[in-house]
Amino acid sequence: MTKLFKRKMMIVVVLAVIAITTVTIISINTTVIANSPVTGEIQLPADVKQVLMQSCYDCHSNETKLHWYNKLPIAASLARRDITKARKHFNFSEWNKLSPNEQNGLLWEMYNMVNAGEMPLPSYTALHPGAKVSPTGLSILRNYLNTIKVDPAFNADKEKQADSQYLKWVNRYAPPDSLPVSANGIKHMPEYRNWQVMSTTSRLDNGTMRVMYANPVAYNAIKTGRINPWPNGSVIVKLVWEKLVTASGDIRPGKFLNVQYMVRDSEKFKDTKGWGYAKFETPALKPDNESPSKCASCHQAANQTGYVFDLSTKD
Amino acid sequence: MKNAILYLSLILVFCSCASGVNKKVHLREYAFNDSGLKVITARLNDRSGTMSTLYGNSAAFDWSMGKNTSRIGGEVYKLVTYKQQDHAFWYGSRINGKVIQVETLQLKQQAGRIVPVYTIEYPGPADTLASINYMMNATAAYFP
Repeated sequence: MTKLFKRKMMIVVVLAVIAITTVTIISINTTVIANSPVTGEIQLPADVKQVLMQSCYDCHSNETKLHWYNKLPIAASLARRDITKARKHFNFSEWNKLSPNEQNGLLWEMYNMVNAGEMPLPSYTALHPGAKVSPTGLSILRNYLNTIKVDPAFNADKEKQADSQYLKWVNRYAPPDSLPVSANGIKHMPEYRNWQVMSTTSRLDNGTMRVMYANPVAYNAIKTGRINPWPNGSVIVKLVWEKLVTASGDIRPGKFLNVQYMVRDSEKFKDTKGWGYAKFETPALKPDNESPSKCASCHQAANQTGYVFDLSTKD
Repeated sequence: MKNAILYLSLILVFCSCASGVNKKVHLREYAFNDSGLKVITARLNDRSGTMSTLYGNSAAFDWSMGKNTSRIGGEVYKLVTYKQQDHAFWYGSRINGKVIQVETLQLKQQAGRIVPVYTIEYPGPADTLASINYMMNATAAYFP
């Protein structure tokens, strides 16, 4: 071994020691994210909660447990970004801040995101393999959801509300003077009535029924199987009603709740995977401008069909 | 050096974003084209595991919205019934599956009387009288 080589080796070792020491000091002094107090913990059966604690709590609660490698440079900022985003979406430690409807919707969304392999994030489970939800864990979640299904029953009040809405509609119907527009520029399109029906659904999770329409561009994309990605100009419209049980036991559309849009423009809506989302509530068609980001997040579970959920499939 | 390699590996793992693993699905072809008719309403029958969509022409539509006080010849209704099936992407939802029958009701003016003419495609276990009764008396769902 030459003297020169020994000197080079020494320099490398010194630099490595300096680098490791620096990283260690930075890591010790790094606060990735603070854990705020638990103010309104979710209440669930113990086995269900155990699954969520094991797989979701590190990001979706104020009880985040970090490892040494989460504090390293770059890793710390990635962890901070993911946890901040996760807590904003929902936080098990502040669950009581959500309305019962929001809580219910999120529980079903959680299951479906896990079932689709979208959650926990693969980048997280790569380092925390124990956080992956096992088939047994999925089964525990599914069995719990089955206990909170909305089972529609005949309800005279709901029938009255639906009838009152219907009578106002048929007696005072007039074309609107101007069409409502959402904050992201999507306008209500009454011409959807002339489009083909894409599908119909019956929701057991929230007691609604829906009819979906596809405009000619979207209809053609479905027929030709060109939906990954969907062509620009595709529009999908979803009408949502409360289920109403009739005297015969059949279920028909009751009170109209909202109309929802997916509009394809890969450039304009690139932040939400090329789809613009809009929702107009009640017969007044009031834009719900908070929905687009929530819609985009949930629609990840339908990544196989270009983020569109309601397509009928074959076995 | 080993630490550096381990660290770089961890960063790579953090930055990688593998997509979820879904069961491969195949889209169902459209089996029904509305040929210009519009949806009047929809119906779920959980006992038989079916869901139906009722379409109509403008005369049928006017009746379903209470605009006409008597029946008129020319009303056309189509009742498309599907098997319900589990939604491939959303546990907690059922979606229309295979079409099992398409029933058509036309009201025709014959010798001063309105005569219902009923036809059926994909003959299934249809309760013809119940279907005619439903098509003739369904009220429109609220469509904005």
